[in-house]
Amino acid sequence: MGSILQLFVIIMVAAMLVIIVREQNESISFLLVLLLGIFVFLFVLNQVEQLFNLFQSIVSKFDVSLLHLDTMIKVIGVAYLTEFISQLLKDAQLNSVAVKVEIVGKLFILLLALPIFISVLETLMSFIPQ
Amino acid sequence: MQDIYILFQVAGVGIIVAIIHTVLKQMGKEDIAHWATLIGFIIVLVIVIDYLSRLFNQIKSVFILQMIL
Repeated sequence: MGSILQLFVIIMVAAMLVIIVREQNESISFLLVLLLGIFVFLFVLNQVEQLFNLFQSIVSKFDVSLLHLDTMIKVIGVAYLTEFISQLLKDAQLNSVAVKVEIVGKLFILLLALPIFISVLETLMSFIPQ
Repeated sequence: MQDIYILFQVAGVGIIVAIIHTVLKQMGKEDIAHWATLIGFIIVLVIVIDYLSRLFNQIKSVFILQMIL
């Protein structure tokens, strides 16, 4: 748990730097916020990678028929990415662009989840007698 | 975690650019002051874009997103 404290300290220091720089230069403070987001995301991504490797090894080792694990991982990735970009745009007072990014993310998630939806529909249809 | 000092570097560039802007404005050279601000922004942008591409590549490899991004 030492590393999470380290991360929080880095976030606090970066927040103070952003507050200092924001009075002087608005655009560079936005880039500073972006850089802080990149660092936090990269830090979390290492742990998430281990988690996903664990999931995939469990699925392959115990032969669990978790059919659409790849699709689930992709959907989680698109959701994280969309949230990251949209929060960043909201910080820069670009609320309308953030809403557009969220719409694009939702459409991509729908596109990715379409095979699962089709398989659910096929299962339902097989219950209906001809 | 070794890259954290980039945050201090970017904040320092921001403050120094603001100081240069103020000094040039006091000297009455408004146009050069705006160019200095723009160049400082571009320097920081180059640093940040490098890290952003690194982040996107790692996201592509962790979440298996090769085909849609």
